[in-house]
Amino acid sequence: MTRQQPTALVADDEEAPRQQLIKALQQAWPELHIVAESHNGVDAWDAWLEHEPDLCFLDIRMPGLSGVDVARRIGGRTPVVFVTAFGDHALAAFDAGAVDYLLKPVQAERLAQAVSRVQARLAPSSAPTPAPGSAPAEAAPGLQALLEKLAGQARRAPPLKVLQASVGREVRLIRTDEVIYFESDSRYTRIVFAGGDALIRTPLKELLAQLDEQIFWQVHRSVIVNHEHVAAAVRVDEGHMHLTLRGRSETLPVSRHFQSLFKGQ
Amino acid sequence: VALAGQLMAAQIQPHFLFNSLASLQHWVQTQDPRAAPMLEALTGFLRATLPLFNRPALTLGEELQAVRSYLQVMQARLGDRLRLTVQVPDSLHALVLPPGLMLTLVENAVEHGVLQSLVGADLLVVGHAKADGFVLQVLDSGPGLAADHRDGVGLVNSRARLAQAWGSEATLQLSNRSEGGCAATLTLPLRAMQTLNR
Repeated sequence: MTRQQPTALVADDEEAPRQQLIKALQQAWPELHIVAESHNGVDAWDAWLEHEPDLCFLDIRMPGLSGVDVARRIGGRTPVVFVTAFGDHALAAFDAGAVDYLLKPVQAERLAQAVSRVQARLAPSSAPTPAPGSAPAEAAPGLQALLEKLAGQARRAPPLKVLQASVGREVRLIRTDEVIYFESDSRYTRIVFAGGDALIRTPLKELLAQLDEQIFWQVHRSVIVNHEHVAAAVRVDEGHMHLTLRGRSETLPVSRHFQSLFKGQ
Repeated sequence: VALAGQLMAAQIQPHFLFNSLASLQHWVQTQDPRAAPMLEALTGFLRATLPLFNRPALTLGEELQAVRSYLQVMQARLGDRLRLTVQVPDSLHALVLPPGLMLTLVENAVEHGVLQSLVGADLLVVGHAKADGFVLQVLDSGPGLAADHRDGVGLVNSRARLAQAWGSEATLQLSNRSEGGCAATLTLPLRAMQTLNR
């Protein structure tokens, strides 16, 4: 598959630095098409799933999910350039890894270097990119481990324990451990639990950042499942997979980015 | 050399400085009218902050100047993500504090409260007198303290300076608010209201 125009996602929670980078990118790489501008980590991850850009520029400190959290989820499937205001301890790691980093305010000369690195990486002659649906393999194992470690250091509120959903005239309290799965329903999120289902206003992408990721697995841009309720992952045909659930008749789709969660042992 | 020492002592957060410069650079390049006030606020912040840490103590009024210029910079950068209320009666401006204490509490509330919230947050700086002393509070409506919260460098230093100045008569407590977010509550003894010996 060839694209006429390379695409990029740019994420920074502050508007002016984001616009500064975009402006500098337009100078450094006029052909590059910015398909998504994200204001926080949850939007960035959602936009990555929606647009599958060729590369990402991620600010490290963002609310919801940090740039490191987003990079960890991308798992090397797209080259990531980190953008940060100050070195922190992370820089040493990026020096060693396959990803590049830029310091804010972004300097034209340094950006040009990053751009040529990314262009070399995206060129057809470089290392083959993983086939769709295959396990993320591009990031060096050391880098991936480091991203895991850094992600654990970010301060965030503890995982949600209870959800409040309006059902008719009552507000029902649903414990997260009762939830079977969450599903995006236009501007709402549908919660399916043992006793029924309910709608909440929090978008799925925001909910994702508040759930215990050991228990709740995102399997599709619009589906998060409690893995304890999954009975089987069924490969329907090339590229298509769905989940069957314990004691339930409906199936849940698994998009190709998440199929590597279910690879057998 | 003196300035370098002051910069070290002031512990100006590099993230704050470079993120502010990134916004400033963009606004200068695009001739945005926000550039001039931003530069003014940033200069005001540096001027107010640098001498702060060279002194053993200063008044709340002086400290609030540094706090205000910091918040002006953040307000310019964050727009309506930062919903700010400062309500400290003038009668408290003569309180004597270890330098940088209020600034540290406000910086923490912005960094961990406002900046970590997807929808932005309220930030309140309030103070009042009570029978046996004074209370100063920095409140935010962000995600609150994590279960495994530990004090960062800024807070550890603040507590040490506070203990040095007032012993056990002063307290600094961090807690989660019932309505969500974090509260930093500083209590000072009556004798904190005194004339500064210069």
